[in-house]
Amino acid sequence: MSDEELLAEARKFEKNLLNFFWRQGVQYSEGEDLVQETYLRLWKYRREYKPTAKLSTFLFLMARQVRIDALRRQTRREGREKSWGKEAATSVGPSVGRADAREDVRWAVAQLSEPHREVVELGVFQDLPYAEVAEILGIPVGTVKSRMSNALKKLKEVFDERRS
Amino acid sequence: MNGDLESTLNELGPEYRAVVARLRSAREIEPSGTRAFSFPHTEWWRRAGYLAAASLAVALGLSIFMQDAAKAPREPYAGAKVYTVAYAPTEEALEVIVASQRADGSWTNDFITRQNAAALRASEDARMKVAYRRAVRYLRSKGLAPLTDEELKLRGEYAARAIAGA
Repeated sequence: MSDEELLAEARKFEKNLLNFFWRQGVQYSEGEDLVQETYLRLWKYRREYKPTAKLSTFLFLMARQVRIDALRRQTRREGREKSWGKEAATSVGPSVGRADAREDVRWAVAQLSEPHREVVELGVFQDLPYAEVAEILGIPVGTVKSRMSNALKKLKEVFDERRS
Repeated sequence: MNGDLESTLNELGPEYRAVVARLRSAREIEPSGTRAFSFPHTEWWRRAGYLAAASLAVALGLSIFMQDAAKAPREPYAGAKVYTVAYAPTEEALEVIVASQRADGSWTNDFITRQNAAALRASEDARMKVAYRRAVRYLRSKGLAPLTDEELKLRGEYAARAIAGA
């Protein structure tokens, strides 16, 4: 696969990547920066990509690392130990009075712990098979399955509470 | 929906399908399209690299050439000059002079002294007489003459310079 073909294929994931970052509490403009950073990382490590593997796995693996790096940068910058997730949970609030399902979903996902949020993002939103999610997160498939169950239970609670 | 998630939802129960449906029903945000990423054009970079390497090689060559040119002895006077080497007019020296003469009558680096020229002229050896005539013909065509003994003394016995017309 040539560089041009790889880029053309990777570009199909632009929206997925943007939403991947956005749903985890990253602001829109910063999310776009992170998408660009992901593509830069793809360029840097393009020789390591084997066309036999799924590009989505390779791309989300890098997107995850980009997000972790961004989190570290922010932590250093702000000089505090808060995790990105916790911050996202406080900065993203339910859209009371606004019928915006998108913000509600974002808020609900932000209530999850980091490991659960990652599994939901990749397994539900990106619709990746558990084996691929496991490869991206570097955990066993069984762990993905259990985290997914727990995450969905937690989300149901959040939605139920919100309804009541 | 992929089979793995389907399997998890089957285990959890139908109410969880609603959870997933709600998650997925939310409209996703769209890229602004104002930021375009493109990989660096490797072929162009490769060509630019070759061009840069070639330019560097030319610059390096010129630099060496100029350095050599700068090292060349500076001429204190203008006008045609010829290098000369003086040999004692021995038989052996004359043999060397004849053997190293070029077809046009000149020598590669050196020229002939008047003393050597006189020895060639006086020689009984036909090769030496021919060498003398060639040398004189060459000298005349260039407006040059062999060095005098005084000039040799002034400029050194060996590798001294002859001034045009001297």
